[in-house]
Amino acid sequence: MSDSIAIQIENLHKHFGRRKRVQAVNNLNLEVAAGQVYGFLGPNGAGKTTTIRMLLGLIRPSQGSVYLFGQHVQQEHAVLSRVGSLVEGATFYDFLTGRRNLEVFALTSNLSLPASRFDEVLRLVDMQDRSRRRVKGYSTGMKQRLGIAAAMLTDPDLLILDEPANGLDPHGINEIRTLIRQLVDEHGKTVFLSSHQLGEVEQVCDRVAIINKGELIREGTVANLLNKKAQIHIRATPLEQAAAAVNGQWACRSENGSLLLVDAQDADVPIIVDRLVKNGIKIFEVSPQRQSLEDYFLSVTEGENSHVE
Amino acid sequence: MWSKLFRAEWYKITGNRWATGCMIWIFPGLAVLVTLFALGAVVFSSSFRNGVTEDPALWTEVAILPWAIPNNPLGRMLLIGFTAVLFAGEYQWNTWKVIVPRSQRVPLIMVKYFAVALFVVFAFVLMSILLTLGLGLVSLAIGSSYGPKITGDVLTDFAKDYGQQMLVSFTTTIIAAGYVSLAAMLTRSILGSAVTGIVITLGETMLFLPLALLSWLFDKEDIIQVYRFVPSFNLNNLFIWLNGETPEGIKLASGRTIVDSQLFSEGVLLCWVVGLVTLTAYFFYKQDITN
Repeated sequence: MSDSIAIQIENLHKHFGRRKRVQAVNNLNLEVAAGQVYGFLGPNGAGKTTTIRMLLGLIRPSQGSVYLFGQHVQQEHAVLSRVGSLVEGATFYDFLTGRRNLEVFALTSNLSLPASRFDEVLRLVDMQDRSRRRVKGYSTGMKQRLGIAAAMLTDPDLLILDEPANGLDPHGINEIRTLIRQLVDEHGKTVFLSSHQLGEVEQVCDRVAIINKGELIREGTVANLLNKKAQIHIRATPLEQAAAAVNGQWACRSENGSLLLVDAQDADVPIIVDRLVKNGIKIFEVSPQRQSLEDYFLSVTEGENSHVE
Repeated sequence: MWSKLFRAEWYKITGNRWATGCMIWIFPGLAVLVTLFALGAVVFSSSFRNGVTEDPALWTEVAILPWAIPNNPLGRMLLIGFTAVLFAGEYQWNTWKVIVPRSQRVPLIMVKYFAVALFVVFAFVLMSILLTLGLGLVSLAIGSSYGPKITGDVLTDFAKDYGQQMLVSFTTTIIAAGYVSLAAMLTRSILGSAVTGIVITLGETMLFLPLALLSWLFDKEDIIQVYRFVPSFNLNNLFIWLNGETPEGIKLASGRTIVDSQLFSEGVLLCWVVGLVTLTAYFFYKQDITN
């Protein structure tokens, strides 16, 4: 393991309760290469936040190990100085100003940062004008922005962001999305992103992992995962003949007696059209349908078979 | 690392004006209030003026007076509240999750103990200075003496007495902080840890009664000897020893009286301080930081 692997999770287990009744994370294995945005998805109670807390050394694994940049988190606490985080909503000392909170965090990180660094991160999240006000008066969105500033304060190599867009307006969400991509594409950072805003995840992430009931159920690039569920919708007559023409190679079914749904990729469209034409079928419409990450997420979290691309 | 951690703690404490104002700065404020009240009495009450002239205050005694507050279980209540804010606040505000990844856990807890002790000592030194100067001003206004005269011997004796009082207060504060910090880890609430701290602090002073009852019920006088290891008992013993007197000790049913030496009390108190701090650090080191 080296710096090329930002996160490595090995046989991770976490159970809570005196009789270990609640199995929050169950034999999780994951590897996140450096220099990418990695989405970490799962329904509520799937074990995402528990995993993130173990990544940050906030809770101890019941079994298994977590490595960041090749260093064991529990044994080499210093590696966490390369990590910035925002877990389960931004929290601060409400009685301090936003800027003072950042100063406290920097000092706790054993850093004496110049004032310009605070200005820089505050500007990045558009909070420089409001940073001298007490956090008590901040809106959820302002707190979230300050939380992102706090996560970036020490210029970390790895950012672990749990629901960073919570409380942000569409403009703010777009800004955060752009910022995340910039951090990865222009500054070579790694972002581990947990979010329920699957549209955002789909747009910003290079790879995603989906966990359910503490177990990894899917992992791969966004494109690969969604292509597996791609469909082509065909409006043609006679529909029975059209189905017969494609059925040997691609699974298909009809809907409402007028639409043929074929489980095929975009690249298959010319072949399918050619086959239908050769069979004398009249084609009115052919539209490739790519499943959204949200549809995909909903479909896979109902089943639980592990599948890693 | 330690200086930066302490600066962070300093920012948090001084920034929490409500908590520090009500539970720390209230003590120096009280000294100012007493001075103002006394000055008012000088102006409006001839009996007060006569009283001060007939029985003038000694600055060596006035300066030590404020230390009676942390050394008294009831006087310690506000300090317990302050400690609860410091330790349990991080749980209640959900801020441990932000700072624990940034630093080792043990120094994070240790610096809190240091901050509690320093703020308490600072507040009472300030109260002591303000009260000494304030009552000096009152004496000056009346024209009464405010002795003793400052000489080398007086200063040496005063420094010794003052240092001893401070040491006892420091020990008292750390022991109370130990109870509260442990309670903070279990209850994760400011109110919960403050109430638990108060109950334990008051409870330990009253532990003699149930121990005496058990001793009588089981006809075993050794049971009552457990009280010899209670912090408040040893603090009281130490206080008496430091004043050059001998404590009364514990009288057993057989008529035997056990009087523990100053060294014994110091040893017991040291064990409590080290034990509570170590236990807190260990619990925190092992604790899962969850909501």
